Amino acid sequence: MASLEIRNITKVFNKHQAVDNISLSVMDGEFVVLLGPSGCGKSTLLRMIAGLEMPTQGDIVIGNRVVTQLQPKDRDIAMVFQNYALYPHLTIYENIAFPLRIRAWKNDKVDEKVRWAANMLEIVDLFERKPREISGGQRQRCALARSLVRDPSVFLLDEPLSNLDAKLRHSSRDQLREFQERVGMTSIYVTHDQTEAMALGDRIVVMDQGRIRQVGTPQEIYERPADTFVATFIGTPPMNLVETASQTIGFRPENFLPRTFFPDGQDLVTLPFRSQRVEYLGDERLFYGATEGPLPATRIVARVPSTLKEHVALKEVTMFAVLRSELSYFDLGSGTALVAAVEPAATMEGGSLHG
Amino acid sequence: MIDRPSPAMSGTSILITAPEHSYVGQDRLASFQRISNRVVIYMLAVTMVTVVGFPLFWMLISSFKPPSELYMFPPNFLPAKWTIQNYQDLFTQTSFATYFLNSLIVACGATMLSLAIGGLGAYSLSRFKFFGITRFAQLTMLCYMLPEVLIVIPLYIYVVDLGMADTLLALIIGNTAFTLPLTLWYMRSYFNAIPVSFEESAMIDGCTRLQALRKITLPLALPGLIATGMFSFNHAWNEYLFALVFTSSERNKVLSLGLATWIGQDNIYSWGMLLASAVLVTIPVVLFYLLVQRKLVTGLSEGGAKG
Amino acid sequence: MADAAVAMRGDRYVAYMTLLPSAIILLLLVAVPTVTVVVLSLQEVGLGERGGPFVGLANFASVLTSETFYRALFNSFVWVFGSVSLDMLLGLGIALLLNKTFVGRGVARAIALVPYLIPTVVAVLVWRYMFHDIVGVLNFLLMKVGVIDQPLLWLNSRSMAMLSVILVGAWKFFPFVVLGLLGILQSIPQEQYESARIDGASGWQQFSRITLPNLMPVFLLAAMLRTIWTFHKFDIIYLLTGGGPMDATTTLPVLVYHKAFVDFEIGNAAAIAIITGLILSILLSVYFVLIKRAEDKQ
Repeated sequence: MASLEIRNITKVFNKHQAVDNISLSVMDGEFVVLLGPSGCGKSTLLRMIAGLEMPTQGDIVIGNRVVTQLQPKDRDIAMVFQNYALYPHLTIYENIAFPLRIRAWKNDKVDEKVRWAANMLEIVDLFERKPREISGGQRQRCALARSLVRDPSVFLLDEPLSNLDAKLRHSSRDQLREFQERVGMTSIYVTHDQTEAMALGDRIVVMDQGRIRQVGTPQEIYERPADTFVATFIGTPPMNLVETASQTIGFRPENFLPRTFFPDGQDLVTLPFRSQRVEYLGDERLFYGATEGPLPATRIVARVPSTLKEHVALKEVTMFAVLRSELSYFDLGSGTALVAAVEPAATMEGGSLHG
Repeated sequence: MIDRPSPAMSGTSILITAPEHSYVGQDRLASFQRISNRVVIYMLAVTMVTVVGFPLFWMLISSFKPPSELYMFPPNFLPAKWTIQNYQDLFTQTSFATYFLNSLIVACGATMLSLAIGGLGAYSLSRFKFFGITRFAQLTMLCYMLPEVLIVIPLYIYVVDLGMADTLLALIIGNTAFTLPLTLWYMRSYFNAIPVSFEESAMIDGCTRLQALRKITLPLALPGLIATGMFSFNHAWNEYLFALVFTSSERNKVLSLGLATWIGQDNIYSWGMLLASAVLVTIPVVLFYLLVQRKLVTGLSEGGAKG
Repeated sequence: MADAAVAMRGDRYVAYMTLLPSAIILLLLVAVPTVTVVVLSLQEVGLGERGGPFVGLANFASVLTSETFYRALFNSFVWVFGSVSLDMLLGLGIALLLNKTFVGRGVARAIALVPYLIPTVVAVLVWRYMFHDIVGVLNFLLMKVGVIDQPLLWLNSRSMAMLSVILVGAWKFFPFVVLGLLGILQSIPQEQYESARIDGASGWQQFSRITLPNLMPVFLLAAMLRTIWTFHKFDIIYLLTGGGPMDATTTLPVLVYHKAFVDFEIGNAAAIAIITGLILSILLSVYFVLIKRAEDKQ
């Protein structure tokens, strides 16, 4: 187990900048998730850590070794691919044993280690089977076992859950995290699914177009997004953004509730809200509509739990409100988060908005 | 069906045909059509098999006829007297065995060379996009636009200059060159279908790229190699022009050349022996094909990928 | 598979090294000879010589003014047109047939493939035996059925020889077309036919509206490949008739062979070969246009 450091990594493919000067420090035993939309560079970054791609500039440091120029086999890493890459022509036993056989380990040592890994993942009875004969969840465990036998310093995962169907995904996710905690491997996990990222990561690295937008714990990213990209990428439905003359104001749908819900005396910002459409999801209702009144009219989503019995009439204006402390402010041009509201605060006098 | 009485029929009782009757009629028509379709298909199939297969059947049958029957007119269908005289004569009176051996040497040599060189090259074309590689892939297929007769002229000059005239080696190399573009193109497609992640996984597990190729990719590419090997073998076995131009002595003759020479001299060599030789020459390729057909089915459905 | 261009350290070396043998062979045995032929066509080269005095376009001039060339050109066109049309028709019909399900289909498919597999020499041998004017079984059968009353000189009469050659060519090579078309036929999704049947399309309409358009690109591609290969085919004609009787079946490749290895006018032979290549390119461009159009329609 080791720490991982990414120093000023840049990758350019044929004039297209896939990764733009990224630096990151990962602590020993940490589970870090690289999150972002397709094409943001997360997979490229992962492959450079693995050694499958050479960076145009920058260094990768594992532990205290600079591995940038080393081939994958010399980096002491393990990787689980999206399709698990279990060798079709070998049995499960031989699949797991493969990394050890390549290193010319003696048969009895190989057997010991393979059984140890298989026991940890409860796949011992699959030894004689071939990959095509076992289920998706089992394949994931075999891939994990194969990674385990090498005692790698760093564990890389490239969207390993995206090929599983929804139900399986949840249980596999649990298994994965449990496995990682037990073994304590430094892990880098790539995904485009923000629910997965939030559920799995100690820290999340949100990426877009080759750059890091924010690094932080799930809570930090959710409650204090560093810019409008992160704000809208995380959270379903995404954060509501309203552009005023001086700044962009953001608030999450679940914080935007009927005025009547809030007890008096709180510092609220009220907004008239005309809902056009509602989705009833059982535990909550999503109201899609728009604000009317002082703020520029913007499409807004409100997330009202079903425990709240107030009736919100469609096509009519209802007064909604949000706690001032729950508001986020972003710069109009760049989208970066602002520490506080921009003057003129006249727009934000307590209770209602003017101007 | 009548739903309104026409003025002319008022006063007359009107029969309204029950719907059931017309459906039964349609049913009978449909099943008749289906049966006649079937009959037509079977007839066509039988005709096709007969017409296409007849020459081969005739060849096989005739090879077992004694010389007297071969020159009969009207000819017999089945031999009145089955004999393997022709086959015996073939081996005792001619150099057929030598020709067979030569063909085998050339075909095996060319196939192995083509697979080795083409297989490696195809791997490169599939996995790498460095300068010029994609361009090369596109150009190789152009080779097949050139006529054999064109290339054979300068190749003949080479062969003579290098002192390789009348050698089997010249034929092996010539045939390799001919089948190489096809091997490259076909194996490239085949490698393209094998996910790179297998090799990447192997390289992370501890292999160099060549080790990954040897241990993981090649076993998975086996069906493709077999298919393309079959093509190469077939081509070299049947090839005529290069053999005609590059070799001249009896010692180095291959089957295609040997048989061809005999055809022109059918007053010396009996049709019986010719037919027997034809049968023997055909057997390896047909056998190869039947054997290989089975293997071609198992492919990448091995499922090492995908959850 | 755009990301297949893995760029690990040391990959460049592996990439070029594995490709090197292929590149060398193709360069030496294909590229260089092609250039050599062009050079030869501009020289006067005789028996046993490697090169000769430079004569400019004299070879081309003499070729383009010789009657034998134009006769060979005509023969080539007849040969290609006849053989390829027959190939494609037979191939299409038989592919459609073999696409239907019936008992013994596997056997039928195997048999349909065999002509392609057997050596050309063998095919020639057998057909010559069958074509034999006296003891050939074809004449016998035709006379028995009453189609003819005198044995036909299949290979020995000027009128029949080309026909016979076309027949053998088609028999030998139609399986190639069947293979190509069968693959496509089997990949046309059943849903297309089902929804057409619901819409009330007849068998013929289903064929022309669904089968044919799906088939067209591969059909044209197969036709193009068959044209190229038939145009260049040497051995089947040479072995069947040697180009005779009296040049009746001498096509361009046979002519090249004669000029090079019998008359030893290598310069001339080279010139003819080049002209053959040029004519073919023109034919090909027509095909490319047709294929493009068929693919756009999809």
